[in-house]
Amino acid sequence: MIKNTYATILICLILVSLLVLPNCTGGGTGGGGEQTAVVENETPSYGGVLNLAVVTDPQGFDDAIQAHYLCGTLKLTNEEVWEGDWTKGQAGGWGSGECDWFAGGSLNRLEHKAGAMAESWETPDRETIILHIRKGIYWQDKPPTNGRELTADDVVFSLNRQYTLPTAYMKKTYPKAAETTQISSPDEWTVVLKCQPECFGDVISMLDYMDIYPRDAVETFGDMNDWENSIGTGPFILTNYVSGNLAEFARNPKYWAKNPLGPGQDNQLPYVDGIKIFNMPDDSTRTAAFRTGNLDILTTDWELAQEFLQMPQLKHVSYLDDYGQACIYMRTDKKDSPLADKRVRQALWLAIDYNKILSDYYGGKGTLLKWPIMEYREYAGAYVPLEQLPESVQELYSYNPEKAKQLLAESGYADGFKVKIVCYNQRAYTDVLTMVKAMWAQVGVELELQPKEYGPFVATLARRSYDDMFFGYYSGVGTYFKAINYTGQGMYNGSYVDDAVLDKARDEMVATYPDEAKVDQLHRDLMPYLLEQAYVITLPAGYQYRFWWPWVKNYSGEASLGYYNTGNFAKYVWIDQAMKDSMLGK
Amino acid sequence: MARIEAFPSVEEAKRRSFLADLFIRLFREKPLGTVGGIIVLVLLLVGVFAGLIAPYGYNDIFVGPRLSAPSPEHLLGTDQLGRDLLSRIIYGARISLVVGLSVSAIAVALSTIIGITSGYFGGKLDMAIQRFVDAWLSIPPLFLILTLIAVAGPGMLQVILVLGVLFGIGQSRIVRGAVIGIRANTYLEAATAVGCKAGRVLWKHVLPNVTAPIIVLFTITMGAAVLAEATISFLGFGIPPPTPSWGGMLSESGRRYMLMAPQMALWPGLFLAIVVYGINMLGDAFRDLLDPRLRGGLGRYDKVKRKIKQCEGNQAEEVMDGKLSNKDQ
Repeated sequence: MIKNTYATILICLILVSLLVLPNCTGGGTGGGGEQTAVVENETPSYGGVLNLAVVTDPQGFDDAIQAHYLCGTLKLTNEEVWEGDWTKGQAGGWGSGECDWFAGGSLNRLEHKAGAMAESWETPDRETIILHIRKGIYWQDKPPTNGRELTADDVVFSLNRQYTLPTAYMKKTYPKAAETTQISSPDEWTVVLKCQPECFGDVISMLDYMDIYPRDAVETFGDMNDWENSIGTGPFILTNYVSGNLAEFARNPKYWAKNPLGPGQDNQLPYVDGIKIFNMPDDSTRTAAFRTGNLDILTTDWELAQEFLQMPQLKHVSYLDDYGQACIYMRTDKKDSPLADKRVRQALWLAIDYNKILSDYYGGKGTLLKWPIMEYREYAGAYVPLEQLPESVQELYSYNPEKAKQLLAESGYADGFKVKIVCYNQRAYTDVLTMVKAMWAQVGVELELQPKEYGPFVATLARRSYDDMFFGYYSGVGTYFKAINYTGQGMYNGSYVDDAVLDKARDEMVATYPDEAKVDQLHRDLMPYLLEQAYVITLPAGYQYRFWWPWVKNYSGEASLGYYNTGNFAKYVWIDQAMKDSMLGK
Repeated sequence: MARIEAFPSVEEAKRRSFLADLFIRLFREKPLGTVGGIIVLVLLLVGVFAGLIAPYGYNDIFVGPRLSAPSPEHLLGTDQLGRDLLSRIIYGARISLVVGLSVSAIAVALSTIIGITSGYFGGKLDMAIQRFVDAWLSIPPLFLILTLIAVAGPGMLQVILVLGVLFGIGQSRIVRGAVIGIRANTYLEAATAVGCKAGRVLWKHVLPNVTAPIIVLFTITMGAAVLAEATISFLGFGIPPPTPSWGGMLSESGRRYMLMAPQMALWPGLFLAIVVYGINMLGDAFRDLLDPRLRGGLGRYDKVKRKIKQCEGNQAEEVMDGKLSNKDQ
């Protein structure tokens, strides 16, 4: 009897093995896609719902209370003074194509702005910005605004909130600009901002961040952070929000904007009846939803993109994005730390096999040089490609463990040392650091990963409160002229860089802004020196992919028009409902 | 006649040591428990000799192509960083072993101290301790674990301590129950009467008599701890990368690559299931073998029962032959 039992167990194990082994197939890692650039000739139609997905809930609905990037629905319901110009992007093949608008939102060039609430503006000097507010913009038809017209008073009131409320991103991030800028409205349709010359860039940038709210609603509700109080002038109205699940929007019938070009020129915007934004943090859920047509647009990395690249019916773009990219920051200010020594920092850099990471982990699609600014064509003038950098800098991107050991020995660390690094506890971050750990181990440097949850991670980033190293975000290209990634006391100077050469260059760039061509040149001149100091160890960045179904029309892969306006492209998109029904077999 | 045949087995058993007897009986009487024991033994060996058995280091990156299927070079395939999955599974066994044993040790020590103290002394002390345990048990364990780990930060030591304390306090009820069960026994009264102090009574008389449930508790906790560590790591709060833990391997990477490389979720999941199954079977077998209510006499309940049945069968035959009645008469 016992023998029979053993035999049964053995047979079960063999059966399980037989079931399991055939399922172990390898994953495809190759392939790559071309960017889609199609001229839309069809006449747009109204109707349908655009289904999108995000990976986190919005943390608020008022960007004077929560940081603007945590208020994800605002860019659909409310508007800023100005935003990125749709016509300078692809615009369904009808735009000038100067910008891609693919990235998460750091594109902030003045030459690419279009008026939103401001119909036009003037900057007579580096201290004054005059905004001419557009007439015929109406608030939603609900109390207490009851569909009244927007005036300069609403703009002044909203900007003043951002400049004075301690919770506001503007007040927290640019305290000097917030304290010294005067905002007034000489008449019902004009707003004047007077600032100090050194704050001019801050004020300009933030005008594309800060959303405008109705004064009477804010005074009634105290703030606008409750979604049910949402009142805007944007193309959509927030009708339903379920935390952790979805946000639903309906078309704003009183929206002011018209389609500026293409077959639908002068059509009233938006085209779609509504938008549903699902909260889907899990990759598998998101991709499954897109695969089955339950999502219209999907943004993903190259690896998950492979499946969709095999589907010829889908359209896609691949692009580089500095949003969410991380670098290794080091405590260069601690004089007793090995990381204060430039040779040690360079040695650590040399001990990383950049090409291996790019080719094996990112499928060979990406860039080696992503810091201090990402390789964007909109900022090509400010960026020095790797092959144009001096040899001494190019060498840092080559894998040379022998030289790394030599530099470590010269600086007194022939036996290596131990360092700890704080990072976000997500695979995308820990995977990269795992590779770095293995590579640094070859030169005797022992790296200990200290993954943290998002809350403690962001707190560490904000306070720069780490012992040795920190794997954190850097500021996007939109603020490159302020050099906040390597000067000053702000959170993005994660390596505590205090370098007179860099400070001088920053002052020059700030003084030169808004002459963007000249600032670009100053930045180009600075890049070789900056990279050679190895204050920050940057790592390769892989391409992102954005896919959409062919029924999504007048769309070319846009994500954000202007400076962190994620989702504001949606008003231009229309849905071919017949095609959708046909493709989904309905 | 049946009774006379049964006694020699009992006498034979008495001559063996407790542990030897336990394991011999495990092998003879509990096949599933034996399989569980073998699994645990293999886990022990693999964990201890991971460095010798594993073909690669657990963080040797790009030793093979990324996400490759099982092959002669990489028997279980490779992960997203080109690391050998077999090696990571083997080193992961060490984590499971360390976590399982350490958590069980802490939990059993804690539950024994709390349970014996509470059960033996009784009264207000017992009431105070039990209300604390009640309060502790009222908090959802996962919430408690995640909160404590969030405060303490991820790491093996933190995981072990948190799980050890969590299990220890909860399981003290079992030890307390066992102590209360023997508290009224006369040998404790006798020990107290001859002047033994409380400490000696607890150490020499109470503890040995609650050893059986404590051993069972140890094995059950081990399986639960391995599973709990996997859960915590799955949620991203456990052993920090790149240290391989089966739960961690199942987690984000396992899910993400489920379609591209199913082996990444399959192997750690399968080994986790097998080991937890094995530990649970072993614990279950120990419980059966050590439970005084099931063993009868000196632990030969099943055997005695079989003997009695056998004798009854003989008796029946004898009755049929008409011999028994003559002899008995």
